[in-house]
Amino acid sequence: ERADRDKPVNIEANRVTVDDRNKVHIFEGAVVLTQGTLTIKGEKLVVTQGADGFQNGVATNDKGLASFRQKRDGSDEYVYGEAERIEYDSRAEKARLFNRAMVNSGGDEVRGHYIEYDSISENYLVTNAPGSKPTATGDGRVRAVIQPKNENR
Amino acid sequence: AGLSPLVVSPDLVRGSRDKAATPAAAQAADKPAAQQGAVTEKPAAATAAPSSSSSSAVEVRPVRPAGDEGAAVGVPVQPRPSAGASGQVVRPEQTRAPVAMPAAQPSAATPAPGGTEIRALRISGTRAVEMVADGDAELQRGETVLSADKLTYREPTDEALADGNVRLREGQSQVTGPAAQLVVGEQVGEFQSPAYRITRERPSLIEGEPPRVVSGGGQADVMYFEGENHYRLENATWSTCTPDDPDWYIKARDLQLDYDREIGTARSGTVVFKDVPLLWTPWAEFPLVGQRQSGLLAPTFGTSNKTGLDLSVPYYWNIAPNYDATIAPRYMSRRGLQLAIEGRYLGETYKGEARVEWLPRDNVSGEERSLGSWQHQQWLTPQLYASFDVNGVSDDEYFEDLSTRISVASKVNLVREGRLMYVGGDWWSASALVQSYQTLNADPDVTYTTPYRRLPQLMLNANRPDLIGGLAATFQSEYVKFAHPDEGMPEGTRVTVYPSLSLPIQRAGYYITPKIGVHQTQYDLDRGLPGGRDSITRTVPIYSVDAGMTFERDINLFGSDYVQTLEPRLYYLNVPYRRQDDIPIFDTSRYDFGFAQIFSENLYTGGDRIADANQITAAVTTRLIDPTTGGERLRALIGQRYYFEDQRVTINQLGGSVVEEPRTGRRADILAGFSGHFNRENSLDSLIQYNPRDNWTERFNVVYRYQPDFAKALNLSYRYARDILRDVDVSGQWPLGGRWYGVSRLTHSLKDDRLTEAIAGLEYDGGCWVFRVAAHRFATNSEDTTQAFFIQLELNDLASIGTSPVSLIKRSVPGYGTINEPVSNRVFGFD
Amino acid sequence: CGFRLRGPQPLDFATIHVGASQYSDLGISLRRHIATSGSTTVVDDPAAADVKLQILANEREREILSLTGAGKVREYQLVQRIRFRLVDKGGSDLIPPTTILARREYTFDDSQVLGKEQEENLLYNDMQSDLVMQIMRRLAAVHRNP
Repeated sequence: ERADRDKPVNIEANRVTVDDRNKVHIFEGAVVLTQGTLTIKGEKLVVTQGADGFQNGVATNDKGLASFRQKRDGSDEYVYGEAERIEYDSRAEKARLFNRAMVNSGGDEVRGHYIEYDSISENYLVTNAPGSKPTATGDGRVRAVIQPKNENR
Repeated sequence: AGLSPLVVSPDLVRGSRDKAATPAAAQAADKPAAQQGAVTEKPAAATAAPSSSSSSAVEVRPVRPAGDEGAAVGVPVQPRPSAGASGQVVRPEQTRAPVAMPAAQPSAATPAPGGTEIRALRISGTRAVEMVADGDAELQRGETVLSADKLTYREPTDEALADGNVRLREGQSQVTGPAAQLVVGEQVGEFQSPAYRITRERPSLIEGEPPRVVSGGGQADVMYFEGENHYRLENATWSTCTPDDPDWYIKARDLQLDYDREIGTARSGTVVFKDVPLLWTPWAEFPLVGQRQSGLLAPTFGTSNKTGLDLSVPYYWNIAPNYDATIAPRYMSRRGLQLAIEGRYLGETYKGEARVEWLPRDNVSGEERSLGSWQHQQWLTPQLYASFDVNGVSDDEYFEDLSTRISVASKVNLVREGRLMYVGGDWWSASALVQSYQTLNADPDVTYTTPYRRLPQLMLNANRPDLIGGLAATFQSEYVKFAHPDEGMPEGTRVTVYPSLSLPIQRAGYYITPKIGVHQTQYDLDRGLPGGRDSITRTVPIYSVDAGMTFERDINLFGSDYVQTLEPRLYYLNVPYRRQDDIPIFDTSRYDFGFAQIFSENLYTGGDRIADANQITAAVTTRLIDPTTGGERLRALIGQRYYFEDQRVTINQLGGSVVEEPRTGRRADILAGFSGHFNRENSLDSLIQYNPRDNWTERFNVVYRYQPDFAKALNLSYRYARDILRDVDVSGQWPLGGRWYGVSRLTHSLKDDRLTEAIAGLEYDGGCWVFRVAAHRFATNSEDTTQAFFIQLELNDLASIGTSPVSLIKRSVPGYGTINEPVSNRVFGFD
Repeated sequence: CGFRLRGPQPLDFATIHVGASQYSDLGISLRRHIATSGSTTVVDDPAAADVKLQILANEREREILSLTGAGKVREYQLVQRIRFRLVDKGGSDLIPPTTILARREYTFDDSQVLGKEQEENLLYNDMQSDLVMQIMRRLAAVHRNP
């Protein structure tokens, strides 16, 4: 939801390591970031601040999958995404999910090795390898499910 | 809105010392400076570490804010020496309950019914707007699977665009082509230069048999999907052959396939067989799933010595779902042009069939010749049944000259009758009949007198099997008025009333049925026999006792167990003599001497003669029963009758020629019959009627049927009737190797030393078509024979071209299996 | 020689639904024979019946058997084919679809059409009761495992 941008961010973790010189904060252990309707969970969250002041967050989870969850704008549906590693680029408002990636929104779901999700335009790209080019040698295809909407029944 | 950028302000991080909890705050980094640091008081207590440029020892004691799902207790963390960003060693002081993992990962979502699943190497798009699937893309919804190199699916319009190696599969049907556009739900769209194959299951004609799978397909320039089961194709081909190289196909500028009605419609269509165009038609309907009644009826041709070249081009007109007609102009090189129209109609409680043949001018006889025939059956109420059957031809030689079908050519009497039957009463029934015949006398040296006309015949029958004391009563009554066109033939009315009473004692092992009846008949003759009475009454009591027993034993024969039965039966009949020689013979003739007939109360059928009788008929039947199924494997029976008096009533009429010599002997012929099917393949039936008085055989026939497999059958039969016939009959169908099948039948009359009937046929099974050629020769009168030659090309489930010899062969070669069941040609109803 | 009088032929089911109309000859004959078996009653409601006797086909055919020298019919052969099946309440086959047939021959004479018409009826009745007996024997051979 767009309004999330104005909400305060609350991060809980078992511990944090701050490296001001490189403007890097590493949160580890049951990390939960909440901001308005946005929730990011994982075992480790690395937040770095770019030169232009924008933050990039990388959530990973060696014991399982990192995940994010946010309400969609103007609808009561939630977008839920998960992957072994989630990179969030705050400037482009793009999330990039790596390995066993999945984004589900209102029952519609995309699943593959690599997902790019643009939260503003709700565009997404799913492939079986990083980068946008589909590689023939991908081990199996990515998958999308679209639930029947009653309007086009 | 999405994941807002994360600004970690120095007070964000909770320090170890008991500094006042200030809520961690994060501001959107890219927010304009003014909004920086908006901080809202958070209820949760969180300590923030003092900000310092150097990374100071930090102790984080996260305390879950209330209300957050998966709340877990914070973990006080042991302070540690600060070090660079990486390489911190962390030793939690105490362990605690494992932190709830992020919400359990939802299992892979499966599309709800009506949902769509898309797979590809790469998928991109905007949710609920459009999705582009690249690389081995596949879209599946229910039974429909659309795959292509690239698929674009627009959700709002439910439209799928497919490019490159497009394949659409639905159940067993499949369409492939370079590009397609399809609205998946409504099955509307188009397919560029498709190769298609549509498969449907057709319930088998015999109930209890698995359904038959019929598939048709071909290529086209473009294929339009017009809703479920409806397709329209341009410049298309259609065939039931294997798709890669079909032996035959229909080519049409415009082809519409309606799989609801299972009818295909071709506009300016051509039937092409082995790349040879056989038939062009501006418009034609044809069956898609091969029902019996075929739409497209291809021309039929043959030759015969009576008609010369015989070519007819039938045109099938499907007027309505339950009305259809076949209009067939027929050109006969020796006779000229004939028009045949056959209509069929079907209703909820009625059905019927009518047929007209019209030959304006027969080149041989110069006359106009025609045929008319109409059959109708109807249940007026569930108990009241009405029917009529009227037939007529313009001249006696009609069939002989114009028909190439033996069962038609051999017709002498054409029936014209109307019938009404009431079967409602649970113990009585009534019927009314009006009937006459047209008799064809085509044979110069044999003249048939036409049968009597019954104008009308009324019958009332009742049957009360369960009266008091175990008695059973039956009542038969009839009023009939006989008329005859020839002047000399007697005419008049006959009223018969025949009540009878019996006491059936029936047990599992035996039965005894004494019966007494009084047969009363009253004749009122307008024209009696010369010198005979005009008004005759005949009252004849009929006494009979029918008794039988059934014995059983277990027996082991040819290595398997059977139950053998032994069923002796005695039938005593006593009917006193009544003078009947001046009663005209209206509808009476003598029964054959067969096992069914020897236990009847009268030697004669009809009502004009009640034979006097004082006789005992004895018979013994033995059967071999398979105990597991109760099926009868073999049956043998022998019977004879012993007379106590000479025969006095005969079929001879007063003043007429002697037709029948009265019997004087005491013993009737001995009748023995055998019928066995030893296994599925072999069966033997035989009957002999031996005359002990004159010590010769009256009748003997034996039929051996060998049918090891489908389309493999051999029948040998020998039929002998003293002074009447001595026929040997060999018929069979046998694969000749390759895809060829031979079929033939030869009936040789040893008595006349003449081949009364000969059929020879060859069939070639082309996989999805069958080619048949058959020659047929049969006697049409004592010196004349008809030779007919049929050529037939049958395109499986489509149509057959050429007069169908199948019905002819089927009738004459028992066990004949049509190698591409079922026959689809019903141009001329085979009788 | 081992022969003994046949005992009663009970059917191994209490109620049966007969798939032939009670107005048809076949229907009347089957109902009468089942009733005399003493062990089974015919019910009209298929759902209430222990077993259902389905008549899948009941065809009569008249074929030319032989011709006179003059090409006219001398003998006809009548064939009656009955295809039936017996299913239990659950719909599984107690008797799989089976076809039994009877054949009768009779001489034909075009000048005695009316008489021969009645002989044909007599033969059809005889074939029908023959086939009904065979069906009854097959019904008696059905033993439903309890």
